[in-house]
Amino acid sequence: MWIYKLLAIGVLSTLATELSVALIFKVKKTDLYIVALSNILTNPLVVLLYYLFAHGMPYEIIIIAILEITAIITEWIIYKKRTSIASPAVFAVVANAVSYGIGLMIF
Amino acid sequence: MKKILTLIFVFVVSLSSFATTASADVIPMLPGDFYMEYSKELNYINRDYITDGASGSVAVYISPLDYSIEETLQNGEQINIDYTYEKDGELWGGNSKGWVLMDNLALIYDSTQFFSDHSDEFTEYTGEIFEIPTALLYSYPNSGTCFEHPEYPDYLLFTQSVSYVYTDENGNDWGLITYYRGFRNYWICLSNPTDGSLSSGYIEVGTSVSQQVGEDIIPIDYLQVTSQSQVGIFAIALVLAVAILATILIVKKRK
Repeated sequence: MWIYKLLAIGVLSTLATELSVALIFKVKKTDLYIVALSNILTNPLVVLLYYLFAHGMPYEIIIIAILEITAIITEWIIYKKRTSIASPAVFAVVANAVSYGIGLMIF
Repeated sequence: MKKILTLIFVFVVSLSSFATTASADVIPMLPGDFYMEYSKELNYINRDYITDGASGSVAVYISPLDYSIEETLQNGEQINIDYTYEKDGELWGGNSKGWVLMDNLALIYDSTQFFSDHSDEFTEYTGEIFEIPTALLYSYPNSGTCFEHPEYPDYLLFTQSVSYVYTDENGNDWGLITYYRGFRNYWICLSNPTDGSLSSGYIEVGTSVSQQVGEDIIPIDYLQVTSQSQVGIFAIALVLAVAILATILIVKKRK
């Protein structure tokens, strides 16, 4: 059951954080839906892949970096193609950085 | 038919009597799939250890590939390790009960260790051949463990089986019997083969790596392997379903 709990906490805390950052970036309300969906797409996958391939391994930090960068690139492409966010790359990087920092504090 | 059954009976009885006489030399097979699959990579050692984990106990795993815990042994238990297996720089020890990390065990000083420590002091035995009807066989010179063993002149005399000689600090000559009726690498005191007082009565035990570093040694990929096995197929399916659904909704949404 622990994995479901972690997935739920992970996605909820990420949504709360990245939607808050989106509001700071003055993202339109209609685009918040895409921001939320993007995080629902990337976050559970990142958490799952981390527990499958990196947790407790000596190269854990490298896998985390690869997973986070992949999530940022994915979200950047989605924001660029499906939203009118002015700086999708900057927003993707900042939102994920804040989210990762809060994640570290929670876990 | 009766003749065949009699022959089978004689054959089985012969086999069992052979197994008894060679019991000290039988290389065991271990239960479980791991032994069957990796037997060629295992190193037969047959050495005794004391469980010596820093936390007071030692975990016995199903295999070096399956970290389910078979049982937990309290410190101070003597276990015999039949085989070792090296995996990613970690040395595992296995017997019929399961597998442990060797760093959580303390070695009971034995013939192999004595050989390793003193082999440069050995000389080839060129002494006289004489009968010793019953001798005390030692794990190593002056060791705490020794037992009486009769000589079988029809097989070989003890002195015919001695390959090397070691002279201890008291001037006693000890002969290394490499093989004698199923027993390997035992020592006999050539100066006084029946003097039980030569045994120190003290069994020397080393210190485990676990005690030296002050923490239990667990497999380096323990967290990864256990979390992997606990994630479960349903969690993977759920995450994939959510990801596919989110992708569909994103694709459908227009800018």
